[in-house]
Parts: sequence; structure tokens; C-alpha cells
Amino acid sequence: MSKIVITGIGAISAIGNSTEDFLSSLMENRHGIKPISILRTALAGKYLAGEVKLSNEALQHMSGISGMQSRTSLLAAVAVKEAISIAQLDYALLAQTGIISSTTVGGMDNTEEFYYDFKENKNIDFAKLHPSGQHTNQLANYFGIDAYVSTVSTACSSASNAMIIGARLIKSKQVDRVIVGGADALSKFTLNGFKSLMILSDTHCKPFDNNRKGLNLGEAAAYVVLESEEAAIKRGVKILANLEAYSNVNEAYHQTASSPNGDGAFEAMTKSLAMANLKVSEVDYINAHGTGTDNNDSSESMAINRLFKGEDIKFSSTKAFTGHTLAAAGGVEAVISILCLNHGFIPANLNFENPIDGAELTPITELQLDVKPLNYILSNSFGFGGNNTTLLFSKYKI
Amino acid sequence: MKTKLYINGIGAVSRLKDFNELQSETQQPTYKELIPAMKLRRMSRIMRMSNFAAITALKQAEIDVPQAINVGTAYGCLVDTEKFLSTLLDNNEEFSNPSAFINSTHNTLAGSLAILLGAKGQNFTFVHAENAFENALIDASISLEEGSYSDILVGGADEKTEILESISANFMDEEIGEGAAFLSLSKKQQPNCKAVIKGVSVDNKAMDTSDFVNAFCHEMEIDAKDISLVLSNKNLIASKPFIDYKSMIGDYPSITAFASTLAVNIIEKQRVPDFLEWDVFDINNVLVYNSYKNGSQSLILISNIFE
Repeated sequence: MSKIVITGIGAISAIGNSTEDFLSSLMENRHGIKPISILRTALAGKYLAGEVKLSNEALQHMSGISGMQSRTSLLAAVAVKEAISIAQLDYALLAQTGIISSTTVGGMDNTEEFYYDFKENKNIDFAKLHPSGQHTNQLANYFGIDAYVSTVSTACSSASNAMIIGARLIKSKQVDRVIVGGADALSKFTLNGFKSLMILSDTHCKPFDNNRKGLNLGEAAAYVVLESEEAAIKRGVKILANLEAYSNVNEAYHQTASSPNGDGAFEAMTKSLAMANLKVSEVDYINAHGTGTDNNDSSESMAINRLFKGEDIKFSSTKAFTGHTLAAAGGVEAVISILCLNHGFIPANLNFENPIDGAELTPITELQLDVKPLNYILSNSFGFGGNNTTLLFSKYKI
Repeated sequence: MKTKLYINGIGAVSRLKDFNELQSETQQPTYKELIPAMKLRRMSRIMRMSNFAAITALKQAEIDVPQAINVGTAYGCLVDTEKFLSTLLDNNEEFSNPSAFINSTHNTLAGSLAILLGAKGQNFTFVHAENAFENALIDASISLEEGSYSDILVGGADEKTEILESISANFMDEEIGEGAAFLSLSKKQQPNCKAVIKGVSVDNKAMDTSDFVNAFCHEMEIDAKDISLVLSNKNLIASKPFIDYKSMIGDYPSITAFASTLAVNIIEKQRVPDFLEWDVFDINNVLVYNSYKNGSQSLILISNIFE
């Protein structure tokens, strides 16, 4: 069976408008968590967030996409454009390419503005932008991506699940390549939602720290081009990494909370390793979900401890750089993992001071360069509804 | 779609009670027959409909815990989403209700099923508007083909709200409806198998409808004359009877899940709803067609297992 490889990456978030910017931000420990200045919200003075500090007009200009859009679509268009350019997809190839995107808010930014107008049957064109599939349709139409169009929404594991679905489409030979990932604009809806759950930190998030106070939200779009190795070799494009294995499981424990033992995270990681026939000792780095909430980080630590049984494992959460970008998070962290494989580095888990009592796990707190070996990376994404996904990326060797 | 999906159980909550009697509103079954009262209290209307339809399908298939769950829904729990949104807008972001926010997440229905059933396998939610259910079916076929699972629960559910009712004419021709429908599917034919899904096709490019139908029949290696019945909002194949299911129960984005369960019921019972007053016989191949104002259309072929 042909392997699934990655031939393009594209991303925009608080740490940059391109994957090149991502790389330099990670290399220079430059996070993007700042006071809220783009989203118009009553909570602006109270919380920090990882915003893309560009207006919708600027994003429109950057992506080249015109007409009425949601901010989610605009962010997505910027990232997809970069992924297409790196993967060297021309019109003819795009017509035979699929897209599976994901989002949690879709066009909620407009719905927040015009909700009461909808009640009076006014500004209905904005209501048409609300459904989650709309941004994917716009991407498909704008870039001429024709072979398969779908949208997934499984909360904070969305983009990772889009990758699983895309990889399977290629394996079953329905398409040779598919653009997969996710996008979420920051919205009043999610900001207030996480506030109501009391898991929003009023300062910089501290993933895996004993005194963590919750998460910072962020906004982002991130996509990768998945391709069958055969098709990629045939057209001579540079291969960036393998999507070696994947697993999605459900904890069936609680609608929002993770189990104290980290059962879901443990299962997802275990099944991904089994699919790749890989030993625990062969994992070089885990890009953790690590949101900075009390519940996630202790649960994920338990899972890591259970899986690695005291063996030394390098891990870090990059959410203190980007904020938690919800549906896009799995995409952002896939892009970061692929950058790590190609540039031999492990990004720092910022703001960490003391390990969690009982877990005693210390993440990578300083940027590590020239990491050898760095062949296998697990990327975790966990979402509401007990949804746990682990992707396994590996270094591409000819 | 290469791997056929054998249908071993179906369940639906809709205006068509028992796939036969048309009601003025979506029939609300006696939920506590299938869902413990304690759990029922915490479920919204759409969660109840979705869970009831799903458990009905599983019971028929004699499956306690499905290995995987794929749900298609355009809006998820829309009532809760609007409740959360209007509270924050009305109160200048001062008060908000965490449970409405939790439920507003699109995968709440699939997640709720996982908890209710203890289903620890794959749990996906597809939200691509009018193709959400079709996408869920296509992924089901591919994951069964990959060998990750041998059975999967696939369904579609959407609910209506006042605002959606008032603006729906901008997106759809039929009156808006709501409902939930699920199918328990397997890779291998089970003893209690009712019918088989042979293929699914989605067109986002606004192809000419007859070209789309012909291409699908060609791919399915079926002659249009061998289609016994069409479930469609238009006369799709000349001289073939069709049931306009969208006008019948009201339209909603994941309605093809309901149409699929209706098709299975017709094939299994060899009868259409009584009020149609049709004499039918030998219904072996049913074609489910759906289309929207934006030009997107889809086809699902459901056949008798002997076909």
C-alpha cells in the first residue's frame, strides 16, 4: 500500500502569517499571546489571546480572495494558498485534489454581528456564511479544488480528524491528494464559552505547570497537503514528511472533561503506535495537546506516564505560543511537527515552572536544536465530546 | 465507494411515524423506553431524537456497542447554540450558560451517543451542510474497507429554530423540517440484514441532473429501468414512481439519512406509506436523490440484499 506523505504546509496564527514565520517565532521563543485588539468584545481588557493581528481587509488582500467572507474563511484561504504553493499544485492538479476542512465556529463572527437582523430577515447573506461547510465551499470554489469536498467538526480535535479522513480517502484510491486541516477565527461565542466553563486563564497559559490557571484562546488556520507517495514521486515534488499512522478514539467518559487516568489519550497514542508497528522507545517527541487547563494537563500527563513508564520522553505543548486555536489546533501542531522533523528542533514549552504534583513530568522548557534522532513525532489533539486523536508523523527517507 | 454497506438496523424520529403515518409535527416517541429517565432529563430535544433513533437502529441490528460512530449534521444543537449566543448578546457578554455552550459544539450528538453506549471507537461528526450524511457514509465505507472496524453506526440529525424557519426560504424550496435517523452498518452481510447501500455520490459542481444520474448508474452498473422507486423532490427518471420525502416531512440538511431509512423500510416491508395509496411490488432498488438551491446534489443507491 502506498504511503501517505506530506507535500505542502500552510499556516497563519498569532506566531506568523506563514510557515516560515512560524519557524522563526518558534526558534526565537516569540509567542503571540497579547491583549485582544482585533475582536470587538466586552472581554477585551480582561483576557489575553493569540490573535492574528490583521484586519479582515488585510487578510482579504493577502489571500487574494474577494467577496463576502467570514474571518474563518479568510484565515483558511491564506493558509491553503501557502500549502498549495509549497506543494506546487497547478490548476490541473487542484482539479483532481480533494479538500477536507474543519471548524468549530464557521461564520459565527458575522452571526454575532447580525443575529438580530436575521430575525427580521435582513442581512441574510451573512446567515449563509454561518454553516460550517461554507468556508470549505469557498476554498474549493476559489482554488478550484474539485475532487472531494467535506467538512468535519469534532471540537478541538477537528483538524486532526480531517487528516485521518483524508489519509483514508487516498488509501482507498478515491483521490491522489487532499488538502486537510482546519480554521477558526476568534469569536465572542468561544471566548464567552470558555469563560463560562471557567477554564480561561486571565494571564499567559502555563501548560503542564503545577500552578496552571487555564487556557488562552487563539485563532488560526493550518493545512497540509496529503498525497500518496507514488503520486508525489511521480510529479517530483519535495516530500516533507510521512503521516505514518493515526488514531481516533472516544473516552465515553464526560461531555467536556477528560478522564483522570487519561484513558482516551492513552488509547489514541497506543493505537497510533500499533498502526505504525512502532515501539514506545522509538518516539522522539510528543507535541502534546497541553492546553494549560487543570483537567487536560493532568489527564494527558497520566497518559504519557502510563505509556512511557518512566522512560525519558521529550514533550512540549506549543499552546503558550499560539493559544488554543480549537478546530485549527491539530493543523497548527501538525505543521509545527513537520517543521520540527525538517529542521531538527523541539520547540519550548513556555511558562513552565514546576511539574504537576503526582505526575512529576517536565516538558522541554528550552528550545532544543540539532536534536538527533528526530524521526518520529506524536501529535495529540483532544476535544469535547471525549474525542481523542493522535497523529504520528515521521521523517521522510528516500 | 468500493465497500458496500450492509444495513442491519434502522431508526428514525420524524413526522412519518413508523415510516407510515404522517403527523403534523415531528413524532416524539416514548423516549424512556430506550433511554434511562435520569439521562433523558439532561438531554435537549435533538439529543433525544438522535439518541432514540440510534438506539432503535442498534437494537434491530442486535448490537450493544457500535465499533464506530459517524454523525452528519449541518448545525448540531442549534437551539442551544442560539440560546448561548442570544444570552451573551443580550447581556453584553456578562452572563453565559456553560451547558448551552457545551451542547453548541457540533459533535455533541456523536459524543452523547458515545457516553450513552460506552462506544470507545472512532467518533466523527461531518458538518458539510447538505452533504454531511453522505460524507459520513463515504467515510464509513472507507473505514470498513481499511479494516479498522467491522460495524459502524451512521446517522444524520438537525433541528429547526424560529429563526431558521423564518429565513429558510432563502436556502431551500420546501418547508423546513427536522429529525434524526440512523443506520447500523456492517462490512459483512449479517443474518438480520435488511438491505445494502451500494453507492453514494455527491456533486458540488451543479452538474446537469440527468448526466449526474446517468454517471452514477453507470458506476453502479445498474440500468435505470431496474430502479424500482425514487425518493426525490423531482421526477428523476421518466416513468419511475417517486416519493417526495422532503415535502412530506419538511426539509433539513441531513434529511437523506431519513430518506435512507425510509428506503430500507420500503424494501424490507415491500410497501410504501399507506396514505400514498399505491400498489407496489418488487421494490429491489431504491434511489435516494437530494438537491438544493445552490446546485449541490447527491445520490444513494439502496438495494435488496438479493439483488
